Amino acid sequence: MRHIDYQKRISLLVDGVLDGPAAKEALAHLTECSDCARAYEEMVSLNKALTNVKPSLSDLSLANKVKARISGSSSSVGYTWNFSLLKQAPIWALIAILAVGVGDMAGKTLTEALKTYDTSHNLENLIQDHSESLTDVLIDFGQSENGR
Amino acid sequence: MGCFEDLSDQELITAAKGGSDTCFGELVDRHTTTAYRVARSITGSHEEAEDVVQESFLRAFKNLDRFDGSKSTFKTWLLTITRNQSINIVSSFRRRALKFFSDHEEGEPELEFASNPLSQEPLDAETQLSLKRQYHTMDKALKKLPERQRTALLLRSQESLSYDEIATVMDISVSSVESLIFRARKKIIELVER
Repeated sequence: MRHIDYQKRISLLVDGVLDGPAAKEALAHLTECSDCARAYEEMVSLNKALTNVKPSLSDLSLANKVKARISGSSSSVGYTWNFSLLKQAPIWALIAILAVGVGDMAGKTLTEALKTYDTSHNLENLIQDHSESLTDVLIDFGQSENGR
Repeated sequence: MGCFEDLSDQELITAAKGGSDTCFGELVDRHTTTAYRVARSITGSHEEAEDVVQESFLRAFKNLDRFDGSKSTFKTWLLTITRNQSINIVSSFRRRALKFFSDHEEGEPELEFASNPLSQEPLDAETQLSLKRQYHTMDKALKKLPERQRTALLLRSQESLSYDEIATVMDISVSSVESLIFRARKKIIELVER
């Protein structure tokens, strides 16, 4: 058995959870291995130290606080409101806004998204299409300017 | 139904399930200190530990019908709730944010240590002072351990829980408990020796 395995067993020995033959074997090892004997002593001392410094609550105020909360909660059974859904409202609102943004509002301003009217129809009325190319328009424009 | 100190936890739970707040109060008296120590060792804070203990008992009280005495004792069930609550607090964003923005140390309550059970005498001032020094050395070393190692070690050394009970509280196997306690001991001995 490896050294580390013995020390793991020694930890169990300290807690008194090692059964008969295994405990005997570990104890026998302690007599012939000074490192493990030292580890055993240290673990026993550590256990003692941890037990010594176990803090205790000197007053009963915490227990009384607990009891007060419990009696308060049992007397208000049936009248409690579940606010968890209300607390989640901003998150759902944000998700809704993002969903609209990704879907309807893509490439539009908020005003455009909210005011739905067809602007292309109005533009056609404003600039009438005579099936002219841009060059034709520019030539016409130049001639009219020169003719002034 | 009257409640007496010699009633077992299971008997108190049966009475509490029947609607006796007083019997549940007796359970609170019995297990508050242990729950506090577990919460305190995980959160590292007196105030947070108190909050956790209150919340854990409240949860236990509200879910008493779900408690199955054949699977665990009330103590291990309560400590499981307490540990989970403590871990939630420690990992909460709000807590990390508060720690980030304010680095102040909260005031420690005046600690008291159990008097020597053999003598039944209260500890004298010198012994109290020596224990306080020992406590701070241990506390400093314990804080350097991972939470799982620290909890397993303290549940064994301070609360005297069996390896099976620790496994139940931490929801791990008994062999994992053995490893955690062994590694915790090795590490803490190293730290204290330095």
